[in-house]
Amino acid sequence: MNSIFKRFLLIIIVAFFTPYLFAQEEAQKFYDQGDYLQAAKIYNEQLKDTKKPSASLYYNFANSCYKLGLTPRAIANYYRAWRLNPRDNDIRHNLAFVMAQNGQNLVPTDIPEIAFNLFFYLSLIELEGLLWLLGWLFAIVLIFVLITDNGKLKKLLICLFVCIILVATWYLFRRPIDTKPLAVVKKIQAEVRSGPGENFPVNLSIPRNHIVQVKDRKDNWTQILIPSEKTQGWVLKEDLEEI
Amino acid sequence: MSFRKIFLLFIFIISTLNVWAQTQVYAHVDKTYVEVKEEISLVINVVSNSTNIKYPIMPSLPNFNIYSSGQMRSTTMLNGNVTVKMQFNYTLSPRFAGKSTIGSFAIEVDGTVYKTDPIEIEVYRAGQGNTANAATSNQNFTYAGSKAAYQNKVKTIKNNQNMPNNAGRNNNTSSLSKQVPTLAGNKQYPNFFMTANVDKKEAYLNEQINLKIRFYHNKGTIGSPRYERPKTEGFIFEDIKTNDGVEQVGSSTYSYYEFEVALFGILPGEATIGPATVEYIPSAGIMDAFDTFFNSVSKPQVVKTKPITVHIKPLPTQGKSSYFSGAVGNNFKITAQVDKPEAHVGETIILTTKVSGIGNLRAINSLPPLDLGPSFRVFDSTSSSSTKIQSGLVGGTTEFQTIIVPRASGNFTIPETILQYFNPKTNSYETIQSSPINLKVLPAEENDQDGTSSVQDFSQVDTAQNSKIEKFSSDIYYLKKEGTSLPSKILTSVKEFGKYNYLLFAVLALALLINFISKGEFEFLSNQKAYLRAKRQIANAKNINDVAPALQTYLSAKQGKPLGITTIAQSAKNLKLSSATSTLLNAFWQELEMLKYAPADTLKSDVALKQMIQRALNLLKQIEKEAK
Repeated sequence: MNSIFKRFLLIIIVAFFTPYLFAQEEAQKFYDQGDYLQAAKIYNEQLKDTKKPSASLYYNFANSCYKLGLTPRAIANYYRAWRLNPRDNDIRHNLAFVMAQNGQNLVPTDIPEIAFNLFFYLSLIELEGLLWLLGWLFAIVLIFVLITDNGKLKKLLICLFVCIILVATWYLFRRPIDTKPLAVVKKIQAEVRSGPGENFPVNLSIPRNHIVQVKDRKDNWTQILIPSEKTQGWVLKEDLEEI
Repeated sequence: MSFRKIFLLFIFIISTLNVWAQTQVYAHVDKTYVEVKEEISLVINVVSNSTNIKYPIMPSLPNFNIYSSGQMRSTTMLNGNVTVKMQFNYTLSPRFAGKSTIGSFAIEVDGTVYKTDPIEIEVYRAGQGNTANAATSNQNFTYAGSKAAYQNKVKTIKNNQNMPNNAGRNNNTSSLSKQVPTLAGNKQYPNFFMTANVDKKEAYLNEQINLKIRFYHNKGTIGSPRYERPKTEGFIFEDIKTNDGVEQVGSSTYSYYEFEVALFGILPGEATIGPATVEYIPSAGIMDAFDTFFNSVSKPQVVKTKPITVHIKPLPTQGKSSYFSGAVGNNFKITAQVDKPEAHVGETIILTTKVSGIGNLRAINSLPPLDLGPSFRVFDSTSSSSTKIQSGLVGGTTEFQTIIVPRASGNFTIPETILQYFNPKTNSYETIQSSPINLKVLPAEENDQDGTSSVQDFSQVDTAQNSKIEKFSSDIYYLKKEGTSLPSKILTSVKEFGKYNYLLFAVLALALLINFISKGEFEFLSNQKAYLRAKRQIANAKNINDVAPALQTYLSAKQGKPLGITTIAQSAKNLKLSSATSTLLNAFWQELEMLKYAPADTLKSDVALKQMIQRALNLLKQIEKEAK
């Protein structure tokens, strides 16, 4: 009876994961053949079907988009991948590469690269996980200290507390950056108007592939913030690829 | 035959020869032996009796950087026959050493295409030039100043192409009758007069304005009238056509010569087209001219046009982007192509980008920089323009040739080239872009023995540089396999606990509560605990001697002081017990002290033990009530 159950479980697992892995291999095959459109289609389907897509999936989809010349979509997906796994060299390289092609820097020029890499060493999810993990460890050690009144454990408890404070501070600085809604400009020269409508004058235009911050939405219009220009305005929703 | 008749015959023969004069097209260079990057002046001359001379179409010249140095045009009118001499000047700078050929330039004159002969140039590396050979170079046809003048014009356009602006447009066409000079006291038009018209009196920077100048006459002239262009400061001009005809003006029939010129304003503000002049010697008839020749010569007369002021509006800033090329016009198109879609590493690829449209294409003097990453070496673009005039509108094509040399094999894409121009018709900026080009670069070919041509010389230099290890990262990295590191999995899993993580706070609170309780931080709980503990100990006493320690511990706990520090009397005082209770406590304590020495049987006696326990419990209850 037990062996039947194990076999049944194995079949279920294989049946669940095989289509996913098979699709990945199929997409890779198309990519290798230079049929980036087919590869992109498969990755896109997977992104739609997966509840929590992995950084690799976003990255592979972005690669296909880039090869197809869909640079704004590529940037958006590299960014998503980077948010999930910021210390991955491939993701970081490709995002920085595509951004550099459009005159933008992933690492701000006024920040040392090492500091930037350290600050973005963990993803926000990992950072939150680390915070909870430290909290649980602290609680466990605290209980032991209360029971045993052990001096060494007390020192460990203090260390854990300091770690929690540091990680919490890190998390508090990171959270606003990572949760900031961003978008990539899709149009060659997107017109930025002073209000959400054609009747408002065009204040400036932004080139394609530029990353902007999303501030608000109204009907078919999106309010964007351009920190480099210290200005904001409204752009047609269809001109943006939201990250 | 009289002398007069002989002379007339001579004039007739000369005139006929002039009419039959064939179109001549020829090219000269100032030298055929040069060093790399030295300049060669190339002059294309066209002599024709047709005014319909189009701009030369250049051959492919990948071995040269080529710049236009301007053009010269002279028009001679003799008895109604027009002879046009056009001179197109170019400056060439060889790129590579070796023999190179300047191919044939094609020029269309009145529908017929004429071609110049190819010219061979020998190019030496710098410092290896044969000075003896230089002496054998051709005649020098360089026209001093013309290149500088052209460069100045281009520079002016470049400096002003991004100026801010706001304005409308006004197509103000003047009628001929308005331009005819009004002579005071004379209602009739003079025998010789000139008119000048512009098709608009307000235009944007670099927008085309058509100027028509006509010289009217209803009497003959001796010799050819000499036409002098108007001064057009603040404009660059392009000849459109010359024309002649007959027109009824007032009550007389006049012949006229017409000069049509396209003007492009290069500075915002008011710009003045100066007066055009024609100098002529009036004559009543051909026989009079003969008489004049032998007898008296009339004084030359001059007629002028009135100056015209045109308002040049700056271009609007709204909608202008970094892709703005400076061009103003409409129907602009951009295409890009490579001479080969597949090449080896080190091989040269010529990328040709053509911009065509109606407007001043000279304003587009460069393309946005081409960034192909470290996998390619990209050399500066060379540009050449050909102008086409259709229905009085100047247009044409500007061609940019960029040499790119791949340094790594693989499949690459040359990105699209984006340009923006201003369309005065729609009053807005329009953006055009070429299609991206796919390139396949194969690994470098080995044993390339044929290194005679300059291009291959160049590739060899490049291959020599490739003998070092070089890093190429001009493309995105390859696909990734699924998978995350264990620490990442652990951290993500902990985060995935979600709301269950909040139990942590409950655990911490519980631990702290236990801690507080155990350390007696909550006094009421601690006191309650001491009372209950003492009560339990006394009630469970097996011996009378067990009662005293329980009572003593209770009193110490109530005072918050260690055991044995205070006496019973002091304890009663500290706990602020009533005198009755204090007395009772002291008496009971003394009794307990004495019972320590009583026989063991007494101490274990049930009756005595129960009595003592009951008394102790009563006393304990009393103390608990009174203690503060």
